[in-house]
Amino acid sequence: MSSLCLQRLQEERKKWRKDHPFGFFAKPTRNADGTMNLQKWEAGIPGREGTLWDHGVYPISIEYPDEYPSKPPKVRFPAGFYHPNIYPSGTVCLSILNEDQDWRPAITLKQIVIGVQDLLDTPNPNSPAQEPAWKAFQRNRVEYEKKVAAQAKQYTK
Amino acid sequence: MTYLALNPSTRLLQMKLHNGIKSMKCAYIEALGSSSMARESNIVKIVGQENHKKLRSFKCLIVGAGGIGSELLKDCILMDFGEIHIVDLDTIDLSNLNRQFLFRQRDIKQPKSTTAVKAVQHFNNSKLIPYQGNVMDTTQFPLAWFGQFDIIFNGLDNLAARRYVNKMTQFLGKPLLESGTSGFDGYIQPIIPGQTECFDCTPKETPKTFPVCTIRSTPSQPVHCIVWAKNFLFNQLFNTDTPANENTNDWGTEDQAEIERIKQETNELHDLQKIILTNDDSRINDILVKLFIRDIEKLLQIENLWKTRTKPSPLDQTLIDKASKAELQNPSLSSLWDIQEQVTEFIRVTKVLMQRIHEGEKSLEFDKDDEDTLRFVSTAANIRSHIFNIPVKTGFDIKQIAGNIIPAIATTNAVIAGLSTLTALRVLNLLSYAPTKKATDLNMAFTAKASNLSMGRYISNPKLAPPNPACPVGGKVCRGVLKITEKGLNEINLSKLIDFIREKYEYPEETSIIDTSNQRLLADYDFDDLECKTLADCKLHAGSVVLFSDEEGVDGGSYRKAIELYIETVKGPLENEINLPDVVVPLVTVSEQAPATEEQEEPSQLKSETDKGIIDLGSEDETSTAGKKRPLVDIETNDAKRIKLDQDDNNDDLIELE
Repeated sequence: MSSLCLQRLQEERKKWRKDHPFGFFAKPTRNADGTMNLQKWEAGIPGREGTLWDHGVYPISIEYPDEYPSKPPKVRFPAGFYHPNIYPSGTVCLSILNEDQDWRPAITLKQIVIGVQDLLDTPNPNSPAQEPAWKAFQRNRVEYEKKVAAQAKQYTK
Repeated sequence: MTYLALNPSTRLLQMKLHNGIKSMKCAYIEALGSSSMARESNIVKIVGQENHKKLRSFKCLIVGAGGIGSELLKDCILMDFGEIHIVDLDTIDLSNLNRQFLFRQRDIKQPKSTTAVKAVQHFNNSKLIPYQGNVMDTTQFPLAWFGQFDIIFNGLDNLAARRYVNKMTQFLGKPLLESGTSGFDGYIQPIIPGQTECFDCTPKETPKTFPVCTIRSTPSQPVHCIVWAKNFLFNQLFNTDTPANENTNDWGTEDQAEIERIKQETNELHDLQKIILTNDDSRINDILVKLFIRDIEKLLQIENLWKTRTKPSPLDQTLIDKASKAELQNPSLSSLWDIQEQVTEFIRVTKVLMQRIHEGEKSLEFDKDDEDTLRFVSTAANIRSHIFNIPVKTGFDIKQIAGNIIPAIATTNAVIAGLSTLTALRVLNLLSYAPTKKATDLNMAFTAKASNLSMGRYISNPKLAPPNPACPVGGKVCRGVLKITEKGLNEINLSKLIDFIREKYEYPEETSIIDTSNQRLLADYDFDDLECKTLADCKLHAGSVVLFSDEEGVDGGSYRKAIELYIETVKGPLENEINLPDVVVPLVTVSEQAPATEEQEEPSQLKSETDKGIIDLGSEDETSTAGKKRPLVDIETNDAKRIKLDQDDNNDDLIELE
């Protein structure tokens, strides 16, 4: 890992501590030896108020590659997370997390988690990542909303 | 001729480089044939009697004994360095022999460093010391070991080692001659710590990676299909170490039917591996049908994917049926095969690989020199290309792409090593008629034949820039060596170390300490669990490098610069068992202006797209050999990139609206 990556990650931690959006949490994971792993974080994304996703706090992991911030971190929900734009493995597909699209080294953790929160209630039907949620979203909104509500319940604090 | 090549006038540099190759060759042949006396008098003519004596007393280090390293070793010997140490972790491979001219066929599998030293003995007049080892190994090569050299030459092939040696020279204040080549292009950069830009002062390009969705669903270039065949398909079928399932307890849903569906999706490819393991070659057709017909049909059902793209067409079933009956041609890798040949060959080579697994090779890995695996990847990639209307490639083309091969050119290596050693004379200030008054008078040099950047010039040689204040290695941190006894490591706890550092350099209350050797955060303002543990228990040891930062700021706008400390164990005695270096750690002011990114909150609408993480084109099998494939660090492009990034920072439209 480059010095740049390390210094930037510590900077992200500092920034997050100073200022993070209400209801979110984010922290580096622990290594087996008790130290903290700045390259792998855990975070919680609250569903936006007044949406189907409200009341749930959805866990994600954020993994920073050695080439960060040249390359974006990889954001994952638990495998099988129900959402049209989330792969069966839990990987989130979002333009700001794609090196070939809108990722830029200046994008902060705060922007990433807000972006992910936003994605929850505004799925993009043009880039399906899993079949069940995408199909339901397109063809059977009642079923989609039922599933999302059930999932919100599952992740209620 | 040699004199001309050493003329330091920068205006002449371009011209003389034209002659450079010739003169290096002449010097080489002349010197090899002549006695060391004659050579000595040549060097004396260039640097003078006095400076020749200095040269004889100098110790230099060459990191890497590959393409550039072999050249550097020869050049340093011809220049009469008193002592030359050379490090390489690698052994000699057949593919090295075309350019690493010190090695012969009989040397294959021998260590590069020791073999190189043996090969030069007959024209050597220096003390030569080879090491086989990884230069980043702190036990074999502690900082103090680097400290013995007057100058260090890099002949490396990877970013990590370049960064590491750069950092060591920054700790020691030793001059470094950094260099690299890629095909016809190359560069050299003298690095004088504290006075000129270091290796990390300019951002470096990272290897190209592709989003998984491009690989799995929407390929548009041959390379996408090659990555699919090599990194994804080949491993799924033949690498039996790949786990069938991950995160089996964490499905994120309680719907049993849904869990079953996900499991099925994950397992479908594993079922194909089961076919491979049965060694029943009549079932290879099932693999073809699944990969190239059923899966493509499934993709076609997701209509949205094809709104703006050309639809793929599933493989024609009759091609598969015919293939089973077709004559096996075993066509040449250098020709383009038609789709029927691809399918027939796919079946043939899958049979072969199946048989190999059955006969005891438990798990196979792609190797560009293993022709069966190459033919498999080549045919699979081409069939997929055919389906997605992408041009097909020959087996040899695919070998180059899949093997990540950038041709290494002996001449480029020779020119670059020549420039590197010649520049060393100026770095060491041995040319009395052209004294180096300040480090920024020195030149870097890069050739730009392939990229045509320099408008018809073969070489450009800009003056060195001063260090970049925003550089994460040179600009933003101070550094020094922390001396500690074994007793100290075992008795001093983390909080005591933090206190020592805080007191010595006047840091405020809130700080952080990170072990940069493995990116572990040991303690900071929110995290003090380990503070009572001893340094040894925190796994700090000789060779660890810790980064200590001010996380609070002093007096409003300013903060104490960060310091990086290299831990060196000493026998002692030391007061308190520990000694911190006398380094001035200045206060720096932060500009109050918040970075532009702060304003870009609450993106209203995000564009989502199919990105399932990133696949790396793959680490090739020769990452550690010098001279074959290495990142080209292009100075001009990097500058352009930096400017672009700065502009981006002021751009409020962070996220594109759909």
